[in-house]
Amino acid sequence: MSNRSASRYTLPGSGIILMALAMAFSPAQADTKAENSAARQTNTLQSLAELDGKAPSRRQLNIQSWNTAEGARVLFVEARELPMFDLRVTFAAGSSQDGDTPGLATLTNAMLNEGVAGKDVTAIAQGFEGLGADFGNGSYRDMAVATLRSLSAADKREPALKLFAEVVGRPTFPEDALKRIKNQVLAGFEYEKQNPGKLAGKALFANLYGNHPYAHPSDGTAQSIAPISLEQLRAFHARAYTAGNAVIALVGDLSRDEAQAVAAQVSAALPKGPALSKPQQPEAPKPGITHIDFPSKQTHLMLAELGIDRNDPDWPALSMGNQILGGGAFGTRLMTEVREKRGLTYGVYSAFSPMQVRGPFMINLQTRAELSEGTLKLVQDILADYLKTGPTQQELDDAKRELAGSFPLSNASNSSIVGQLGAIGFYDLPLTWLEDFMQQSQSLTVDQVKAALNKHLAADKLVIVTAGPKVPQKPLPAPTDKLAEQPLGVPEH
Amino acid sequence: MPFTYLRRAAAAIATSCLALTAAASPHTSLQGFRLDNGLQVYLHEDHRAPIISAQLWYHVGSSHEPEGHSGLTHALEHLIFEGTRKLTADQYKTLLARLGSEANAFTTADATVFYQTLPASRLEIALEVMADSMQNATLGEADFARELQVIKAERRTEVEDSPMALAMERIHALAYGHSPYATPVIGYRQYLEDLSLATLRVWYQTWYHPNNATLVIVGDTTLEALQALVERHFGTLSPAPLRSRDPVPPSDAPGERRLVIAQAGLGERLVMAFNTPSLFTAGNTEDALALSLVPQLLSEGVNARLRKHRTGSAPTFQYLRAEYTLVQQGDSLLTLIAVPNSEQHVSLEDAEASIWEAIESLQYVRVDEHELRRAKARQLAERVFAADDLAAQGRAIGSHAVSGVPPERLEDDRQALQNLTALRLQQAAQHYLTRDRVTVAYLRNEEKPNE
Repeated sequence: MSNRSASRYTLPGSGIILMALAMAFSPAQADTKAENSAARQTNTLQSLAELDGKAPSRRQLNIQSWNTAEGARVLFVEARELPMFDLRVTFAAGSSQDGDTPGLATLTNAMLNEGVAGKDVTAIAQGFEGLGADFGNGSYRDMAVATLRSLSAADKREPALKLFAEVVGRPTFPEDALKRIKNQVLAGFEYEKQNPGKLAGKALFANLYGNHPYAHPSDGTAQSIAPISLEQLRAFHARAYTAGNAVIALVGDLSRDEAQAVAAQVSAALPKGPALSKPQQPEAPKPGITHIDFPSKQTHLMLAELGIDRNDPDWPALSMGNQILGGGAFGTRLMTEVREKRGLTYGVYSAFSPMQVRGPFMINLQTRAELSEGTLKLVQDILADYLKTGPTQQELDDAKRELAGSFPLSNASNSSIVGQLGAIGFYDLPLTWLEDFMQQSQSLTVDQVKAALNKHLAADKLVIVTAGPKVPQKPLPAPTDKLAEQPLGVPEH
Repeated sequence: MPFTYLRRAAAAIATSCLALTAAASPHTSLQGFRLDNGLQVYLHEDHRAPIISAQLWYHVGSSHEPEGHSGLTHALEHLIFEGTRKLTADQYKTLLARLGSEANAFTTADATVFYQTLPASRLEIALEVMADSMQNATLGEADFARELQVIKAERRTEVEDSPMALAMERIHALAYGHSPYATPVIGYRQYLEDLSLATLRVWYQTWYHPNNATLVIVGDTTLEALQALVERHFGTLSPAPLRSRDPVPPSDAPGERRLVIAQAGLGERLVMAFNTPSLFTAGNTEDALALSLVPQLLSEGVNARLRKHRTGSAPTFQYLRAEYTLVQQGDSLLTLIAVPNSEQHVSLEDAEASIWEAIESLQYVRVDEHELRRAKARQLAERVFAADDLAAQGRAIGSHAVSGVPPERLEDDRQALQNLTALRLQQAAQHYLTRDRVTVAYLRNEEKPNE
């Protein structure tokens, strides 16, 4: 019942850690290392010294998978503890399928719950609301999703599913709704003009991807969405929201038979058709800096290169390498140098976003305008140095432990499990993918991580966008060196 | 790109109550105990996964700050991460991450909260770190100077570079008036400039004591196991005499207040904030519970009055948001934010008139039974759904405790809300949504003179 939104300030971290968890794993099998005994003496946490060497246990997932008669892939985990279920249907229907019409995929997705036979948007919303069910939809570059969270009791589940199936499979796309939604999107564009982070992000994708379908924002532009017609939406729905192009993820209080019936019902309601093909791989962009002049106090700095696709065998090594560079909350190289030693930013993060085809690798931060040039140089130097030397053995060991320790969190809730199932299904990964990833990660060597990083990244190939005011620049403050190298003394497991 | 502005969750506040005992769930209800040194502990067991959310809630927030010291509590929260007797700064920050814990902190008007979600087998480490930081924080000079830069960067990022956030800061200041809830949690910039380490140390010694804290544990453990761990790590800490907080003046009906804010980058918006009691300050709990349904009925629900409001054939509002701060130790606000439909040339004056019209309809036309039933059906489902998230369950318990409402009452209040009548709603609207309780702000984009 609390309203904390108005007055809540957090340190950076949770979001990033969750990202790390989205690619999570199984128990670690690491050896006891010699430095461990030395490490223990440097801190006096009693409970830490007593911690046994075992990786923490985790919830066991029994992922069941099958295809529906119409060709949709289904992934299901039975979870009987709470009388509810989560359904997540993912289509390869993101903005990379827009063709010459940027914004088409987003508008189609946003229009799903605007009308079905005999019901307008209000009646649909009242239908879900009266059953206590949550409907959700969203559209991104690769995928479009529709979700349902409902009580599992038959008198709630059945009508909620019936309505969901109609909304996703047989939307009517009413004219007045399209007009209203276009207005909302246009209002959003106006609002974004005041947001230097948004402007920089758009420019970055444009520079990074050139003519590739990932280049344009999923929402399209004011020019591109204005002429989009109902016929285009209907055609896109018929082509992209097909059973063959869908992955159905289900978690909750359902038996296998019930889950099969749910999946069959959703699948049968969808248009018939095959999966859409992936976009082409993007071509290498031209490196360089673009500056957007903006009257903000802080300057946004974004540095990017092309990364990898989701099926790249180097993903475990790159993920581990990134974790050490800037993927974690605290203690990463970037966070230590830029925030902890110099107080230049509230947070600095790096991330690979593996997608259907090569997604971006990106470093992201804000800093005071008059220190922006020095900070940008510092970040570039940190990356260059890291690529040159690779991680230390200590950093790699720490990152492996972190991964093993955070794994159990990824299976803690139904909502986190359904997200994992959706990703496994959508990117066509094996059901053992989580386990495989963990094992591969735990067996990585320093040289393998370094080699993978250098295979995919180069310090002189960065595409950089900055957004902020033009002001005279000051030199960076000297670093405080409170951070003498002190092992943490976390026991091996 | 996410598309949040199109699918904003319908029921924002009234339905964010969290389940402690979902009717059909196998979980036990809220348990608790108090150590001799005054530390209050709550446990809600959830054995679905070997995970625990541990949250230490100090009963000190920005509303406790003396005048001229805004930002003090939040700054202290940052500095706690800079090391303790047992751990150096970098150890403190990285240790828990390395163990796989999702660890962080936040500050509100009523509380400073340190939380961790981690494997159940490592709960003891979390507790030991929390206990250590309660009385042995380092609070060093160099760390302070650097962390203050980080906080200023946070303020620039979150507030000063956002015209809307700056405007809300001013609106809150006017609406809350002399209340200590008027100041922003992150603090005004000039006070951040003046903040000294000596003040932070005094603040730490004043409030960080076991008898001023509530420990909330949700997850895979038992009361017996927890009690042993808590005794072991917190049992040796000594309580301290607590400074009694200055009484928070009630806001009552201070009269209508208006302001116009014109600033570059600010869109046309209308903000209306009503001075209301909170769950804690309301003489009658039902008043606060009734107010918690108002956002749903005015703007958040699908059939909400303002959402249906039309100018010509088009909706009057492009964007609407209403929030009521139910859980707070002092009186609170019910706030409406509206963007008039510019295509229909709806002026801020027209928008305000439409909102008063909708409020009057709540005051004089009793809410339809179907509407009320739908809202309640949602609430029942939300209770079950909320049980899926350990940390959210913990936050419901903790936020009640720090606002002076016993968390044991969560379930009763939920029941009371289910029984709330349309008449009661109508009376609350008549009493609290009045002109002598409102602060009205017109926000406009300031045109540059040369354009």
